[in-house]
Order: sequence, then structure tokens, then C-alpha cells
Amino acid sequence: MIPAVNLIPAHRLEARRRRRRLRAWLVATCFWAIILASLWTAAWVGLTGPDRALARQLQNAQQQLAHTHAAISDLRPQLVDAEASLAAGRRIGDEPDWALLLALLSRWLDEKAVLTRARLAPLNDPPRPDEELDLRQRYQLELTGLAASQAEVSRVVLRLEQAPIFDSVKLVHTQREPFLNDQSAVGFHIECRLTR
Amino acid sequence: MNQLPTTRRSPIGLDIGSRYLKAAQCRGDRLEAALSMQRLKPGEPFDADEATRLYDVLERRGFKGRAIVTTAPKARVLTSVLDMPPASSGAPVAELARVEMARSHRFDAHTLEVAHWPLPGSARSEKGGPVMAAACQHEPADEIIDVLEAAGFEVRGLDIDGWALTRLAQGLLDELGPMLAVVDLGYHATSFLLVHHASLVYERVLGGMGLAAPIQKLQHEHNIDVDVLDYLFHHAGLSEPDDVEPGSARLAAIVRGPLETHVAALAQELRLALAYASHQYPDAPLARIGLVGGGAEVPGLAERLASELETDTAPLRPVDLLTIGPFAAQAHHATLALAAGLALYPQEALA
Repeated sequence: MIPAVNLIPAHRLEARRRRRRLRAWLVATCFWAIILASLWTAAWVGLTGPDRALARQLQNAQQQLAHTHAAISDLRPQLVDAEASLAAGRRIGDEPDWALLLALLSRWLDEKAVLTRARLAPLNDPPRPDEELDLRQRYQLELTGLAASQAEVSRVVLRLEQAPIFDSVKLVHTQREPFLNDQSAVGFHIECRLTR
Repeated sequence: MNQLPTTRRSPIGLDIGSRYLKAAQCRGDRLEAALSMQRLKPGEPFDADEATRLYDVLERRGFKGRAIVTTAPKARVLTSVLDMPPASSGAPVAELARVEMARSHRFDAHTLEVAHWPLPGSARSEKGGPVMAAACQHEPADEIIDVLEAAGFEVRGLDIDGWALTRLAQGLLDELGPMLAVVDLGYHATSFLLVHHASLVYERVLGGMGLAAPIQKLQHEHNIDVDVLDYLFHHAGLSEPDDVEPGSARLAAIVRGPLETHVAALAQELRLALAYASHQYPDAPLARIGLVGGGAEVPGLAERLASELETDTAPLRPVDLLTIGPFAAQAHHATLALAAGLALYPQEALA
């Protein structure tokens, strides 16, 4: 074996050895750091992964709940308004359209009879013992007015009796009454009952 | 299942000459890439510009990696044979060698890098534990390393010429015999190395015996351009006049005389070195003188030296010793020998 002569100054060789050692340490350190980091990450994911997923789901649910609460709070005034509108509508919708009754009345009274007062009131008569229980609402229509003559009053009563909406028509009284300046008219008071 | 043997590429062996840069890279005993390129600033110190240019060229010429093995600056390498206690004695031989080298060359021991190895089988070995030591000061070594590393290279080894050539010649030793001389015919100087049993046992630098001496003499006398003279040296050299190209015959004749004088003087110096070798290793006949370096390829020079020294002399070409890859065509020249030897630096010993 032929020996090898190397006359590179010793201080250079030492510096080169130090650099190589440093490089080797750096490489080894980086290598082990990567290995340890990988292991740590794997362990962390393996040990805490499901809990973290659950916590994330819980947090998402809480957030969704908060959003929902906020939406409900936002909608509550609208709901109150809607409920109020609905209640009003229901109240109105359940009531009969009395305007139709007034229109019919104007048709039944011709030009020779006028109404001075019309009053519609519910009847709260207790049912008779022999009467079947009837939960329908009953009303009494009181008509007070003037007619040109007694005969005209009779025609009005007749027309009312012929109207299909009234259960009964009763002429309570008539009397002569002054009308305009020198003329006179026959005042009348009629009670009509109807069932809704 | 048996695995196929895999061999990785060697570091790049870099020979920084005064006029040429030579580089080689091996994979096992196969020379994968080889390069010889003229220097930008011949004769001047190797600097960052040249190192950067070299880095770019190597990348394009099939070299891989940036690890380099080069030689300590030749002029600053000191070698000595020291008498040391045997390693088995437990003495701090390395430290003793450092102190002894510093003392004998009058340097501070802390500024020297010293390598040593035992001398096998020499006559002196009977007297104790002779070792051969080579030393280089830190400052010139740092300079060359800084220049190369600034360009992007990584200097992994700072070898000496003798060991690099010994590694390359290992195959010849196995084939021819235990003793081999290697003569590095450089431009400014010639080195004589003696390799015995795969160990460098003797090195002698013959200052002023490079090809620069006859070239500068001719330039001075005939005012001929250095490059022209270099061309004539490497294409005509010591060839017979009939073998020279007709157009170059006159100039070749001018070159021939000073070159012959130079070779004669070189042979005289080598004779002394060989005498020392035969004295130190009387039982190991010299098998061959291998020529490397720029002068090794001067036509007729090897034959002339063989005649003068009466020893088998031939260029030591990487192509004769290694398998050659597609990027190593220049390995046919003995100028690449040192670079190839550096590329054979043992990988387990790289810094």
C-alpha cells in the first residue's frame, strides 16, 4: 500500500473537520427534529383528535344555536304583529256583514217610509226547558221610523216578514207624529228577530 | 446476489506547471478525463483568474466534481532523510520529524507541515530507523489552496510529485523490477526520483536543468520567439536531420547543438544521482528511467539519455499504464503523468 502524503496545513484540516462536524450535527439535529415533530404531531392527533372534533362540533352547534336565537329574537316582533293581525282578522271574519242587512233594509223601505233609528242587539234569553239546546247567536233588530200612512207601515212589516233572514217580525206600536212643517206621519217601532 | 463492483470518480489531479496546467481524473485504473492547457500567464504565480478559467474548462472537458488533489508548490517543498527511532519504540516520530525538519531548514516548526515515511531496504536502514520526510510551509500551501477554493474547487490533498509519480509507476515496478528512476524534465528544473519497492526513497531537484536554459540561450543568441523554439524542441529535438520537416531543417539545426549540450550536462547530473542509488541499494538494479514532464516528449531525448546513462530510458506515459477513456486523448503524452498520478491519490486518505 502506497502511503499518502497530505501537506494541507493542519489548521485547515481542523477547520474543515469542524465544519463537517457542524454540518453533520445540523443535519442530524434537523433530522431528529423532523422525526420528533412528526411523532409529536401523530401522537397529538391520535390522542386528542376525536375530542377536538367533538369540541369543534359542539362549538358549531352553539354557534348555530346562538344564530337561531338571534333570528327568533328578530322575528318575534313580526310574529306579534302577525298574531295581532290574525286575531283582528278572526274577530272581523266571525262577525256578520251587517252592511248587507242595511242594504236590504233600504230596499224594503220604499220612498214613503224612513228609518230614524235602527238598533241591533244580541239576545240573551235563557232557553226554554222544552227547547233544544241551540248555541247559535240570536239578535234583535229594532227599527224605529216614520211612514206616510198606516198602510205604508203595514207594507213595511209585510215586506220584512217576507224577508227570509228574520225569524219573526213584530210591530210593537204605531202613532201619529208631526213630520216636517204641517204634515204628519205615522211613527212605528218594529222588532225583528234573526238568528246567525 | 453478488453486487457489481462500483468505483466512484477520483478527485481531479492537477499539475500546475510554469507554462501548462495539466489535469486528469480516474475511475479506478481507468483515466476518464485528461487535459493539458497553456497558462494565461506563463511563469507567473497561479492566480484566481487562471483558477476560474480552469474550473470552467474542466467542466466542459468531461471532468466531474470539484475535489482537487494537487502538489505543494514545488520550489517550497523540502525533503530530507532523517534518522528517527523506530515507530515501535513509542517515540513521537511525527513530532520529532517536524522539529528536525524545522531545525535543519531553519523554520519555525509550527509553520511547517511535515510528512514522513520509512525508507525500505536501504543500507542506512541497518544503522537505525531512517525516514524520508517532506515538508512545506503553511504560507505557500495556504496561498495555492485559497486560490483554488476561491474558484470553486475543494482541495482534498496536497501531495508531492514523487509520490504521485510513484503511484503511477506502480504497474511498471510490478512488471520490471523493484527499482525505478523517474526524471521529471520540467521547464525550469529537472527532478530525479528514485522509487524502490513502491516507496519514494530519494528525490533530488536539479536546479537550472530545465528546458528553459537552452531555450533562453537560443532566444538570446538568435532572437527567436520562445514559442517557435518550444515548437522546434518538441517536433525536431534531437531527431536525425533527415527526419526533420524540410521547412524546419535550418532552425532544427540551430536548436540541435544547444539541446545536445543540455542533455549531456543533464546526463552528467543524473549519473551522480544514479551512483547514489546504486550505493544505497546495491542489491536492486535499476530497471528503467521513466521520463515525465514537458521534456520527456522531445524527440530523441530518451534515446540520447539511454545511450549516455546505459540504462533503459523511456517516457512514462499514462496511456501505457492506465486504461484510457474517451475524454483522455491527451494521456498519450508523458506531460500528463504527474496529473494522472495525482488523480490516483488514495480516496480513503482524502482530507
